[in-house]
Amino acid sequence: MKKLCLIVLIVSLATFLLAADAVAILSASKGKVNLERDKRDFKFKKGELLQNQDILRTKAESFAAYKFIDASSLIKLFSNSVVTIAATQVGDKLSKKVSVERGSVLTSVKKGTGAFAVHTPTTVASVKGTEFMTRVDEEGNSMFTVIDGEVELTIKSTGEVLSAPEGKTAIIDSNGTPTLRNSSSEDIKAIEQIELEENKSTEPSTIRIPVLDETGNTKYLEITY
Amino acid sequence: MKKCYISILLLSAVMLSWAVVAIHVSPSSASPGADVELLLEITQGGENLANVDINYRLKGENSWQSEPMQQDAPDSAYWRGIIPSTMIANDILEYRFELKYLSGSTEYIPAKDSMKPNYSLNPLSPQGTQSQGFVLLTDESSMFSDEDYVLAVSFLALISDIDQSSIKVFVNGRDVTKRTEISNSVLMYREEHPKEGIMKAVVTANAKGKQIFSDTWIMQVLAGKGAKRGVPFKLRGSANFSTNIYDVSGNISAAENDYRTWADLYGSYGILDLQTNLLVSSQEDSNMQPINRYTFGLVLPVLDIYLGDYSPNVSKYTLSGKNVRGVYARLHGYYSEFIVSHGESVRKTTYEDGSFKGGTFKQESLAGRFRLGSENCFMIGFNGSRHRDIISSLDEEYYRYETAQGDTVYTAMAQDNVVLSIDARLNVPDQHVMMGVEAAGSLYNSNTIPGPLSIDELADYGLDPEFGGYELDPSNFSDLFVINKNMEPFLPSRANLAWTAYLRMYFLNNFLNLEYSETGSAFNALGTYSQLVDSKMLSITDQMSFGRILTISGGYSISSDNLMGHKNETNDYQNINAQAVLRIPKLPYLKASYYDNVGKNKENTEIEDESFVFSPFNRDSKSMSFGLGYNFLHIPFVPTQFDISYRLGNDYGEMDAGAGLNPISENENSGISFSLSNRYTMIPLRTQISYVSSQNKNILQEKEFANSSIFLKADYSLWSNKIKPYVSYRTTGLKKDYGNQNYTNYNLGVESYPIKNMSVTTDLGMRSYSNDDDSTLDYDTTTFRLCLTQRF
Repeated sequence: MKKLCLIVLIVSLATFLLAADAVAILSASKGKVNLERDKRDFKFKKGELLQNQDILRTKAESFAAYKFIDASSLIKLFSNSVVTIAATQVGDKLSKKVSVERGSVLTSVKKGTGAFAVHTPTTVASVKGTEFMTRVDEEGNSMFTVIDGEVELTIKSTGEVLSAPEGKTAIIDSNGTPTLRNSSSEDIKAIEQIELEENKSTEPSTIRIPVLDETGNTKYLEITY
Repeated sequence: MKKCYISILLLSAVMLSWAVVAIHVSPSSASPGADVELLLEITQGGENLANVDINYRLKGENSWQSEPMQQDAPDSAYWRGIIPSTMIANDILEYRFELKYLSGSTEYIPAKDSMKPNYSLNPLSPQGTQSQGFVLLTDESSMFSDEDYVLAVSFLALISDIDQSSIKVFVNGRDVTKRTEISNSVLMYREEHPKEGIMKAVVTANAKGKQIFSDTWIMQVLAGKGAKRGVPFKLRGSANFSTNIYDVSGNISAAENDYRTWADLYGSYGILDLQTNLLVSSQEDSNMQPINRYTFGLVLPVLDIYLGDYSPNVSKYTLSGKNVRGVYARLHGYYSEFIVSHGESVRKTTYEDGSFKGGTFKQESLAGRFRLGSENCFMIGFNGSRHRDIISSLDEEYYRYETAQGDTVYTAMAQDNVVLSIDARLNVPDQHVMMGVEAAGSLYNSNTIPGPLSIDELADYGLDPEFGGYELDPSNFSDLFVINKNMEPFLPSRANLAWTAYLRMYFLNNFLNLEYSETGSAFNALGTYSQLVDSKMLSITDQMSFGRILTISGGYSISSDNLMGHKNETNDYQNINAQAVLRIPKLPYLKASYYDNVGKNKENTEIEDESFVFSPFNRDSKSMSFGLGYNFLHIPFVPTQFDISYRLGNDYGEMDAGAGLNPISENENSGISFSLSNRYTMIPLRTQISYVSSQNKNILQEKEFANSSIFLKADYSLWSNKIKPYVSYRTTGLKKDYGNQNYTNYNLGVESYPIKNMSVTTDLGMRSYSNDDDSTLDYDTTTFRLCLTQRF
């Protein structure tokens, strides 16, 4: 019993210590993005280190992206999305978990980089090297559109497992009822539209590139787009 | 016999005037975050050096910054110095050595006017093994300057091996570890609104006792529309203060406590470069050689202006290498250039020896140059200079007195000198060939104190003041030049002229320099050093390089006096020197040098002078050295740099004092220099050992002289290099015929770095001198030194 208590204490301490460590980095944010840490809004900048159980929220016309610290994956949050970040270190690998409460999340995962799972209210999507879009609507329906690779879906309520390969879209409604169909052109267009919004800006941007003329003077080439 | 010694002295003087021979093995690359330590070995002529500085700058910059070098011991061949880590960035750094001689002249290695490039240091990845365990999380290749630069790196894959406390983060060569957030397995450095350009980042650490480093990550920073355009002003330099407090006991007079404060500022504002050098010392004495220096310089693409102390280089024969306190302006374009320099040559003016008072005058310096043509093609330059002693700068009692007979005796003469020269140069950069010539004539007045001649005095000399219907009164021209009986007029002849011609070329890895010069007996140039009048000289130097592996350089020169043939005898000198450095990667470098000086005289049979007795002499001095060194980076825990040199040589002199050639001097000498520097990796300890020994055997007098010096130093860094206590010990033993002497020095000090780029050094030095033959000469001194330096 004493040994058990000690193990529990060590595990708890390790979990606490790991919880305080960075597990991801916020690589981009645009528009209104909130970061909740320890149930409080946390001020952040691009490049902020994200910890376990941090919650990212994007508002309308907003965007955020983060990477886990093993550089294995890129997670993009589009407008009106809520995601909880979690990871556990297993040896020199990181077991990653993305919990999507609602909204649209595009996930790109490299192969052979440790466990990666996307949790929605109804489903757990396990992947090993793939790119797919997860969408959770207001009613709690989950939709997975697989762009590359394959996603293994486990329905939480029934334990049913189904596989969604490249080009397929799986829909699991709030009752846990799955539907697997070919991705339609509307599904693909919807992803493209969301990605376009990511790059949308209200003002034109200008890049100034310094160039040297023959006499060594610095001049600038301006590109407005 | 007297003449013999005079000849030997003259010969020695000429030999001493020859440049030093030095060997330097360039590190060729610089690691970020670490000072670059440079070692210069002076193998010949070191006794003529006052001090040595390292000049360095980023490639492409105009102005040089300087850092003084320290000699290991007063008689050591080794000079050490650093280029501060703050200069080690993305760009190539170039450097040279500035050698200041006791005579006041300055020389550069590599030579300033040669085609040889300066030494260069390439930024290098840190030492150790490159590791892919560092993973960049921020992988954008470009960003805008109105955003934050973020460097986020994961070392999750190294988590079980890495020593987190050893992690260092370098961005653009700067150590930014203190401003980096290091979490369990990730680090993040943020810089707000970085400057436009390239950001290079690298991470180093110790893993399993070995040094590892990451890839070098590059980010291009572009100017965004909303970028805050700060003032494009870059500033760097240092502000310094030092003071010495002395205490003595024994047979020595106490030195006065002193202080010195100096600042060097180098800035740029767009196309404008600024330079300010200030030095104020409590030891400044208007009667002595000046110590204080004040320089303010502005450099624009077409205009250079320097106010205060500056050493202009107008041309070889008019003004070169002399410090002038005044104004220097250079207006230059591609096809023309105009230089004007005006000021005072400040120097020691008076001295007293018992009842005798003597002195020299301050000198007004005015020089100008007009160049037509391109420096990259053909150019011709017209140069002029006037140097005039300022009579009012010295009280009469210091330069003249009346004898009991009523005669006036001048102990110092005020001189007046005008030099006009023309130079031309053809440069073919594509062919790496440059050739040029300069010819100069001079007017010289050896004593202007009596003032210009009057018209009546002109008539007394049988000169008609009437010229073309106009009366020429010398006093009307005295502002330009003082004309009196002490004047050496300019007559277009070989005696009044000095000229030089040179050819410099680079071919087949050779930097070849050929130069020939003649200086007439009546040519005088007060604006330059070391103009040996009535002489000619031919010199050939070459430096051959095979990459960075093998460098061979050498020179041959012959010179002789009595160019005009007016003297009864002619002295001929010959110098041969050679140096080689072989540096095969990952193997010790080898070095060797050789020099041979020969001097002899011959009778000028064209002069029939029965009273002259010719005493031929012959003197030959040879020396060679060889050594090796290595930077043992792969010795576990103790990277070690060592250098060892062995020298041997002899000199032989013989003279005919009427009974045939007899030896008058014969010496054999040898010496060894050894330097070992250890920088421990497991503990922040650095040790240094230096040993110098030399022996001289006078064969004719059957005497042996020897001296040896041992230098030991250790420093230990505490609190992340914030405090570095050190201790050093040096003992120098001199074994001479007039008694064995010994100098012992102990130094105990602390270098501290309380805030960024600031250092505070306190040093307590104790020195003991003992003389075995006369203990009354023994003394002890204690010196406390405080030095503050703030770099920025």
